Amino acid sequence: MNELFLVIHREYIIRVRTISFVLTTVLTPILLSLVVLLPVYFVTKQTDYKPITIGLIDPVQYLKNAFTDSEFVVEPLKNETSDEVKQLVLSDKYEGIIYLNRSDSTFTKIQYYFTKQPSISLIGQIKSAVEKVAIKEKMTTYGINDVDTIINAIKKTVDIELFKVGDDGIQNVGGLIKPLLSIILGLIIYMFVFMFSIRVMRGVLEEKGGRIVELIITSISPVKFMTGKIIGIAMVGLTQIVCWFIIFSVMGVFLPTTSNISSDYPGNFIAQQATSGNINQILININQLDINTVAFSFVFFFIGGYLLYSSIFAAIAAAAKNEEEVGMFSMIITIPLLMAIIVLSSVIISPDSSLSYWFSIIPFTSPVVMMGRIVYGAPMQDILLSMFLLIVTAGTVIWLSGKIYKMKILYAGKKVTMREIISWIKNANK
Amino acid sequence: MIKVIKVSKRYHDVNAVNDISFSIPRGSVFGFLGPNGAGKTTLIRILTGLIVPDKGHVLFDGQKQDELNMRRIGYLPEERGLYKKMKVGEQTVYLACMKGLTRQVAERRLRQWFEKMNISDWWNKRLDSLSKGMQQKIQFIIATIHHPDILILDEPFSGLDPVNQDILGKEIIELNQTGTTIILSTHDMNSVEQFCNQIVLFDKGSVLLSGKVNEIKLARKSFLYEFCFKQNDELFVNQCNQLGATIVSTNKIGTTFCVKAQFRNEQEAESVLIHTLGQIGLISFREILPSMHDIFVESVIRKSDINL
Repeated sequence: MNELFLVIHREYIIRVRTISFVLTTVLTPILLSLVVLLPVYFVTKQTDYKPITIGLIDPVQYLKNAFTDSEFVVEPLKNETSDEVKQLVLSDKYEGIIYLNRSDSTFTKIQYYFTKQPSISLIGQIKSAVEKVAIKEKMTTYGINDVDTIINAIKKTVDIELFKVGDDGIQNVGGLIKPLLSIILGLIIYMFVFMFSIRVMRGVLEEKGGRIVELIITSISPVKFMTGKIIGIAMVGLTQIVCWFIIFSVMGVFLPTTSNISSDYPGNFIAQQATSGNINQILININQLDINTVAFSFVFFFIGGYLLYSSIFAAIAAAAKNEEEVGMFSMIITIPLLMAIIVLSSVIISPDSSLSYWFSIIPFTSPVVMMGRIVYGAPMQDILLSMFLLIVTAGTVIWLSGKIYKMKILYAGKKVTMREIISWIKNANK
Repeated sequence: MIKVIKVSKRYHDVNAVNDISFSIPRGSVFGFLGPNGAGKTTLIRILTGLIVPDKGHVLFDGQKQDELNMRRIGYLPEERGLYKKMKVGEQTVYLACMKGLTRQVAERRLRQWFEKMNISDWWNKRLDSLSKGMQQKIQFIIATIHHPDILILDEPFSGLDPVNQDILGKEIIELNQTGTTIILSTHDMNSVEQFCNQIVLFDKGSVLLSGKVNEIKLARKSFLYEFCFKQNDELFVNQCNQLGATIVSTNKIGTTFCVKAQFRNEQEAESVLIHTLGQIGLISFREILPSMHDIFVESVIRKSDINL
């Protein structure tokens, strides 16, 4: 049987059958979904939901129409005495009582009486509604009439449409989807590259601690062994991703969508925001993306980045004296990945700047940064150069890591110096 | 035939192995002896291809090490190690397959070995639930499962109780009888006496001594003999003294008197026997050759003295 296949099989099978794998694979999407969907789910089941009722004491009826658009019901009350107000608040009939004292000629203050602490959102809504009336009143005193029309006119925002001019014509490239996608794809690559590389490192540490390496590499070349280990663990990761995808899909079928949620629910603004116009704009923006290039590049940079970093982590685990040293070196190696995340935020601002360009070419940051640029339509020669350098670097690092891995057996428990590492590299062809 | 030709390996400023040459005949049990740090493990790693010598090379039947099919070699490293969380059966099948066996053949042979070593119950146990000695048996099986031509055993008996030492020893002899060349690296001189027909003794990376065990012993014999009598040994002792021989010890074991005497040559011993033969009731006599332990200690100490 092919040794490489045997190593891949072992690395895969011993991980996927562990309880921790099964638990993380099944529970992670469930817990994540619960965090997002549970509040929504409970709201859909909350059949006895009633909007809250707030009392309003406003003797001169200045706030008569202030709360018509509010998510809560406002019930005007007579000008009660303070004892009567207290009794009403304590009676639980009202969530609270708004009190407007018209002796305050500047109209800068209202009072709200309650027994249950009101949410910041409720206070904000009351304040906003009253402010609107106050502004209207002040403008009227300055002789400005038809205030509502003026306010509506002022509130209108300006949309800017972006057009990219290229050899193939003019393309509308506006919208929020690109920066969002750029960040999401970059972060996914960062997260998985880091997570799976750490697994490879742990695997090497296990072999080092278990002293089995001397036995293994008399049967298989270290480079082949390292490659098998990296592929095996990558497959574990991919299995996990596929399982998560399936679980999310299944949960999507059975769990409620936002359309099922009562329209009375104050938090239903998400559904309200997603108007058909916005959705169409998002779809247009997605259609403007070169989906094939983005999808292929994502898979390529994901695998390339993983191969590069996992082999570096493997070499560190092989060469380090103890776990403390492993931790220290890992931190250093993680710095380029963190830098890539920082640069990713500047890619959104300026995808073709020198900073974005160089970080998308350098193999240690390219998997994250180039992915961000590709969403914005990076030039094909940049993408190809980045891919080429990533392949060459990852190949060299895997080969070198295999050599260090082999050499390390002589140095188990001893401190490895730079001189020794250079000597290994020099002798790597022997 | 394995030929080690002018092999050197240096780590920093230490010569782990320094320009050494010797041959290991096919079918022999060949001992690698030497104090700690002598270069035995380095040489084994060179033989197994784990490290490359700075100078010189190793020939296996005229073939260079890097051209050799490594599956011809079985190796039990000094630093034992297996996957602790894997089950014994699954792990041994994996390692046997890595040596080129098919899954079916590996499993069949392993089952036979497990039965032979009386460890069939361990097949489904996790390795970390086994004792060190048990794990060592497993490693020995892994080293031999693919029927290698050359079996390299680095300290195979360390950590084993006498019963398991006997079981392993029996297997080593059996493997050698079927034609396997066995290289045995050990500090245990009893094992050398018991198994090895040839040895090489290293110290500080150089060969101090090499050759057949019997020849090495004969070359270092000190004309020490042991005589056992029915009667009192007084007459024999007097005769020895007259000839100038040294009485090393006299013992009475039950009704038997035993004398160890050292002569200057064989003729002196012969002469004493001729003069006393009819009068002392001789039961037995034998020449005492130096043990490998003595030769080891003497060679290493003598080299240290020379270096001083």
